[in-house]
Amino acid sequence: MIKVKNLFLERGGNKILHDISFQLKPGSFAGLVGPNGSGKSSFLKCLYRALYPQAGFIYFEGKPLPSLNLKQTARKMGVVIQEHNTDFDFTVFDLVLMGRTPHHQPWERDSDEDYQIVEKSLNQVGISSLKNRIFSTLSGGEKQLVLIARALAQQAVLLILDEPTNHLDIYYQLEILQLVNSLPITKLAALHDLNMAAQFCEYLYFVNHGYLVASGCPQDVLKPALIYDVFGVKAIIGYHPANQKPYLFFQMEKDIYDLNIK
Amino acid sequence: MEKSTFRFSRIQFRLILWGLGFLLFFTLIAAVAIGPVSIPLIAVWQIVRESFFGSPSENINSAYVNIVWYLRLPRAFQAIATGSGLAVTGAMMQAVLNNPMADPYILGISSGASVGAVLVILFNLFNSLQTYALSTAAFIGGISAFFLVLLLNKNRYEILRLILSGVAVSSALSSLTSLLIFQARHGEGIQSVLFWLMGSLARAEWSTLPLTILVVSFGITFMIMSARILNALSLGEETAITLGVKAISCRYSIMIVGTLIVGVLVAQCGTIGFVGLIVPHLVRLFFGNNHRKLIPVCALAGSIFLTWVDIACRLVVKPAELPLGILTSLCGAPLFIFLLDRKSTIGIRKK
Amino acid sequence: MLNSLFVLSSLFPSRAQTTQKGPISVNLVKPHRKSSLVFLIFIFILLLFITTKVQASQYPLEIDNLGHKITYYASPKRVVVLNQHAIEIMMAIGLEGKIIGTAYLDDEIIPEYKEKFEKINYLSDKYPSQEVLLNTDPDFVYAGFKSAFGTNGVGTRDTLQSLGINTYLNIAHNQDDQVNLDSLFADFYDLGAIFGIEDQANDVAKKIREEIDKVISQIEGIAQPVSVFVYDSGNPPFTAGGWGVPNLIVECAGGRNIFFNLPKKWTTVSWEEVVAADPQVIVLIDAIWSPAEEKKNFLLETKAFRDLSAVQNQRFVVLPFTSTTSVVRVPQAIRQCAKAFHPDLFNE
Repeated sequence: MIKVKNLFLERGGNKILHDISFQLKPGSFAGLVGPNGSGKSSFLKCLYRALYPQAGFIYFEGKPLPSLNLKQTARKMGVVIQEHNTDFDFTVFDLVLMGRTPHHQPWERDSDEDYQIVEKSLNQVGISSLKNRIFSTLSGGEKQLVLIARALAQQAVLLILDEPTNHLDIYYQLEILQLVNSLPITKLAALHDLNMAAQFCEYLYFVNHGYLVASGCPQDVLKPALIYDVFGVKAIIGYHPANQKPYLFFQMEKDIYDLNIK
Repeated sequence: MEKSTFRFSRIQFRLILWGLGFLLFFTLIAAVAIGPVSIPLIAVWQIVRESFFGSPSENINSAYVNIVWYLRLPRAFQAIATGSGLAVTGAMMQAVLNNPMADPYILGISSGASVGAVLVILFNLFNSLQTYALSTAAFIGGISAFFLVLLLNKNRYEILRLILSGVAVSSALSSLTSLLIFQARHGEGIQSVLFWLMGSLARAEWSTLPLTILVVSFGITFMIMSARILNALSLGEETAITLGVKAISCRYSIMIVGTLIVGVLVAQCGTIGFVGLIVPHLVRLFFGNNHRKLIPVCALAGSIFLTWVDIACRLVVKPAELPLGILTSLCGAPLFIFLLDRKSTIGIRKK
Repeated sequence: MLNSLFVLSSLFPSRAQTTQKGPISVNLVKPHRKSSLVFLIFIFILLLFITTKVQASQYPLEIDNLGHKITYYASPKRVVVLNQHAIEIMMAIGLEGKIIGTAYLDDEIIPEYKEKFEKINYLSDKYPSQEVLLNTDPDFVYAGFKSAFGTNGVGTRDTLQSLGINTYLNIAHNQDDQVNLDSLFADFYDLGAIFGIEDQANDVAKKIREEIDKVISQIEGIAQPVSVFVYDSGNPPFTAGGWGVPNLIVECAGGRNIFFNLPKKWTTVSWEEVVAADPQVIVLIDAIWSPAEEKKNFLLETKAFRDLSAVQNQRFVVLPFTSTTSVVRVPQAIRQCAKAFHPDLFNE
């Protein structure tokens, strides 16, 4: 599905990513975790082609990314990011309809088939009732759902999400991650909340200072030493009572911490 | 229950377009029939009918024929073309630059054109071109300013930088225009400059109309065909990329096409303000931001608006004439504020 | 005074001489006639003396110039003149000797005055700055347009007043009213009073007025004035309204400005009105910034104007811009227009 080899990225003279190599298993939900500034967003940008890496290879469905034009990638890759231009108002329906853009020439009209795909996507996400609402009037969580619906309308086989649960209340955090998890496509999300990541993701990739420092299933990879190394906080690994998945309990007291945080 | 303010069905939208089309036709008739000189409607109809198929019969007052056929009719067509061209390019600029305050002139065209125009009016530049001197100088000035802005942004792709360089170049050229006016030989030439700076359709004539109509028709068609791209671009550069749109190259190509169109319009009529900025917003209040709908409605709304304003300019202080820019803002601003109050788009959150 | 009385008394024959009878009294008649002649001459000289003294005490003089009241205590000695028509009026009256600086010509000064003009310091092509003006140490500034005392000019009239500089503004171009033949010459009378040369100034004014009257009398008895459009510049066209000098020129020359009823000196109008009015003659104002030739070609080439009588008969009059500002050139302008409007009355 997606294979990354020896990826290097530099921006404005700063080295952002060092020698990242990884591979996504098709159909899985992978989580990308790491502190702020570790390069998570930049890495995703390289995947969805908003940034160009200085060195390394990205293969998408076996083909090197540069060999595909933007439209071809857009037909297969759906992205949910934080860029909201709320100055201009679209209806939810129109916004999701824009997911059909990569499937048409600019001058082509939207066909009945397109409308059907949009309706289906809205249903899948559960927001059919919102279809005539104006996007900027929606809550944060509803907006994210709309963007996911748009990615579905793109008929994407890979869904990339950059911190989709930022600023959302707990209801929508769970709703979105559950929804994403239920989709039968490959999913890669950058997440802040380690516990959420542990709950929903099959694989976790830890990024720190531009290096891929660990990868694997949550049970294997979530260890206090790693947490401390990457995030600079002490954690005790427990288990969620409902499903026995790893659950991190962070130590709150300040004096237990050393202040040598890298 | 929150009812959508934008979602017209396809049939409803088509009806609205037809309605606006009829309104435009009616406006055209008004522009030809109404003016500082009162001409009976029957005479107007006769003149138009007969002139279209050849030359008008002898029994009509030749002054009326000249007024209707050589002054009012080309001016009406010019108003329609200019109004639609400015409104559409305004909408385009706002999408392409992700900025609701953008107008067709934001990247320096109007100031560049002003420099050219002032050089012709007050300093007799391009004297050999006679009547074409003004349009030529204005076009060259406007396009040069625009390309200067692009040059300042070579290999730099941030939109904000583009807008700010546009502002900088505009300021510099406006100051240059003021300096030239100050240096001018005599006060009387300044009236002409004033009319040019605030826009006037008085220079419309049959010979220049085909070019204008061709350019504007091409422009509107191009923008409608690029509606998808404009939609994607208006969501933001990155989002556009994720939807398969080559944001940067599309932005530049659309901007260049739009600017060339504005250059032609400014060369003919001077800098007519307000239309390109406000008409798109006005239309968005009713139709949302989907450019498939926005562009055609802007074209119709812009042409209707500007034609009526031009009629007012000719009547309000008759027999004198007002420059267009005064009335476009004077009429448009209150209208816009009124509509803004009526159509609040703040919805109610469902829980 | 006493001396003259003494001289006077000695001229009268004494009693002793008159009482003699006979041939001696006859002889006394001739010297009597001679002495009365001398006496009359003396009275005349005395009266002349008295009247000049009376004239010499005309100051202090109060002049109300367009709302500014200024009291003059003596004739100004150091004058700065701004704008061409003001300069030409000063030269016409013969006051060039008092001018220490000029500024803001519109085109070439009248050939007759050129020599005199070149001897004077030309301060600037436009209004000089206040500093430059004050540097010349003037006591009187005469301007043609009120912009001279505006934001781009040499300072406001009040500011200059407080610095001890009296100011005078041309009345014809700056009054808020229609200009007529009297207001056209108002400056002459005022300047004559201010500089103490009323007769001289009035004479010049009279001469110019007579030239104008001559033309007016030549076109007396015309059945109807010719309809005229005055085209200054621009598209839409800038034209003369009913209140300015061009309108006056047209009227004096036996024409009727199609926009005579607009209460403005200059204004922008719509071509429709021009076409509807169908002027018989078009006056083209010629200026460096707007040559008449250009305007004529534009009128001849534009289809909308092809049926205008003026265009079909090619009846155009070219007036230099300065003839609409400078009263000295007005008679020539009126003559030129009158010849064009009523050629049949001028077959020479």
